[in-house]
Amino acid sequence: MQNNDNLISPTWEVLDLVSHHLDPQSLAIASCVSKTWCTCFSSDHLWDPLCTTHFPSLSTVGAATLPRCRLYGLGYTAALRRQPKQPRKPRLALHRLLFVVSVRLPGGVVEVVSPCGEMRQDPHGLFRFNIEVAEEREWTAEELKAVKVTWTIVERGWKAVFTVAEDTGGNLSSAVDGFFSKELPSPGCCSSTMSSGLVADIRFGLKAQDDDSSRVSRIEKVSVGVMNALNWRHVSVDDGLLYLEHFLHV
Amino acid sequence: MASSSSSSLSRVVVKSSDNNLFVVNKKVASQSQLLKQCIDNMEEKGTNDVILIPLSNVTSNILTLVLEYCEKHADFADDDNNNQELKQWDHEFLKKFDYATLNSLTMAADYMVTKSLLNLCCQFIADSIKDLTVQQIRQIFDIKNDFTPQEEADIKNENAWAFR
Repeated sequence: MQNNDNLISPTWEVLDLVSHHLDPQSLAIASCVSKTWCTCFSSDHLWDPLCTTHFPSLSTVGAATLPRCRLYGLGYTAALRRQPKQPRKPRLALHRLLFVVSVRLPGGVVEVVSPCGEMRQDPHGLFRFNIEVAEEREWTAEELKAVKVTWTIVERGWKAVFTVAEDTGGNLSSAVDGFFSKELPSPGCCSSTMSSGLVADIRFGLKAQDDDSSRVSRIEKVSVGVMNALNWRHVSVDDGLLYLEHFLHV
Repeated sequence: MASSSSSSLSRVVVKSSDNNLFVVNKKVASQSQLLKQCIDNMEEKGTNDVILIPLSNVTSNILTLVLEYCEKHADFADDDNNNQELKQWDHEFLKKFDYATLNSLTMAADYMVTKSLLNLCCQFIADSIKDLTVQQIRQIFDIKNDFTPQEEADIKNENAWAFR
């Protein structure tokens, strides 16, 4: 004889039937309603297939000791943490930055100051900029061998400075183009032993001409950028700015 | 009720737990696997009597609803579950009931093995639980929180991942 007609709340039989129509999240929340609901919605026979489907690698872990609903919760949390966070938009904008590249040679210093806002943006949206150098001096191969370059980024209004690469040596002697790289400091979110995984990439465009007996070159352009040290590709403008934000944006 | 020479009956009588009799067309009754099984068994025995099926678990007001559902669905083919008109009718049908009636209807559908009605009821209840907070569920279904404060803290802690 059925005598539930005046009860509002579902009986445990019905809860058991309904449980197969609920998603894991709703099951977990419904488990906190009352003791009866907890019993109906946290049974192993209900959660075991869910664990096996969603977290097959976990389903053998702790099988003996841990209730399956707990295991699902662990798996869910772990999966969430592995998901890459949606990168936020950088607060720092390119037009607020000024690049200062100074090239030190035995015979003198070439300094180029270039506001980022006026530079042509990379067509692929990469953090890579070409700076024209209006410099007439010419350098011998010997001088170019000893070149050191410093790349500093200044936030407009002198709010902050960040030296990306300081006195970095490279190879400029023989080739027409030379390239320098320097690992970037870690942005401080982890301990200092973690590397940033990024390198500053500085390249020179040289124009060589044979003058009398010796060969001399003129620095035509400098190209600066930030690269990922793992895949050796340039990072996107947004990623570059997000990194720089740590050092610049106050 | 005299049967035709084919020895197959066109109607059966179903008795509710409170002793009311319902004369049901066989096609309608077949929507319930329990009734269909009874009918098939009796027909195999070659009986010519009117079949009386007592349902000790279903009251007459709930049985009326189950039979209303079966009658509607008997008009459609078995594989016609995606029929828009039928879906609309199902929804309107369930919308009328309070949770107490839904509870009894679900149990009756389970007992009478009317799978599509059972799924319909369960999905309907599940949908009304989904996206609610614990407090809202207690309110809607009038459930008393019988956890001790410590127990409640523990269970909420274990399921913290679900509370986004």
